[in-house]
Amino acid sequence: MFTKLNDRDRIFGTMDNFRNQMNRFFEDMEAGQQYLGRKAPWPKTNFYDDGDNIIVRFQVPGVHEENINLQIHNNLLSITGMRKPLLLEGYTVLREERLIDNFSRSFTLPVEIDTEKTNAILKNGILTLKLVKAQAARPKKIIVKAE
Amino acid sequence: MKEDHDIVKANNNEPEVMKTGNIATPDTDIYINDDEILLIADMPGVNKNDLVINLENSTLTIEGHFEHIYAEPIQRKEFGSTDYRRVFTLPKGIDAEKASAEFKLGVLQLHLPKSAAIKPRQIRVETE
Repeated sequence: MFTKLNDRDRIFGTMDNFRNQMNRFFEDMEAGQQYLGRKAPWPKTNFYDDGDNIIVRFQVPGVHEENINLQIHNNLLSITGMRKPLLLEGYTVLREERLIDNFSRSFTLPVEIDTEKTNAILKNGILTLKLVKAQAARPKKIIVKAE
Repeated sequence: MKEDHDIVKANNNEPEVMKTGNIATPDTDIYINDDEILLIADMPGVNKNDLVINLENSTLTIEGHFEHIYAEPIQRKEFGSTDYRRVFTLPKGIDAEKASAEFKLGVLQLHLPKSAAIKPRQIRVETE
């Protein structure tokens, strides 16, 4: 059967390939482990730092602005809120995947925030929060002088 | 023979454009009543103009694109540019002409009315 050497190589090559695929499958499973059996955090959140401001973006589809509550207390930023289900009378459910109704999440901010200057805008289900850093927390430029 | 060569030769003048970003299937609720099928899909960040709803025979495709615009150093990233795409197979008897859609707060609501022929009809029994 395995008369030629390169036939044998090919067989083992396929086995290696298969082993790599299995390894990748297990890695993916482990990566997803942290959320197995419980909900992934909601809303999904991004943080950006442009030096003077911290910009936070939340993915909050279907949430009205009056149902979002943002709070900063001692460097702890928290977002709580609820997503009102649509009033659907006389409908039968065929599929339900949008399961989020009440949500709450909090983050520790790395720097002091000037809470007077914050603003938040909701657009197309994305909430953008701009936090202005307190004067003391901003990066300072040091000017180098030549003698 | 010359023709064979033409077929085999790859055309490198127009390289394929690959889309960047994630592809996601939007979370969807589907409800049904006597008059219509109602489909609700979360597509946060998509602009109304970037939303494509295609109904062909019994295949419904919803697509949208969310472009991630911030270039500042990212400290924490849980979402980025996303292509939303989902395909549904609809039952027969949907009146595609009368379908309507709303898009609010990043949520698509699609009304797919049933055509008159398949709506349940009640037959009244009359006594003499």
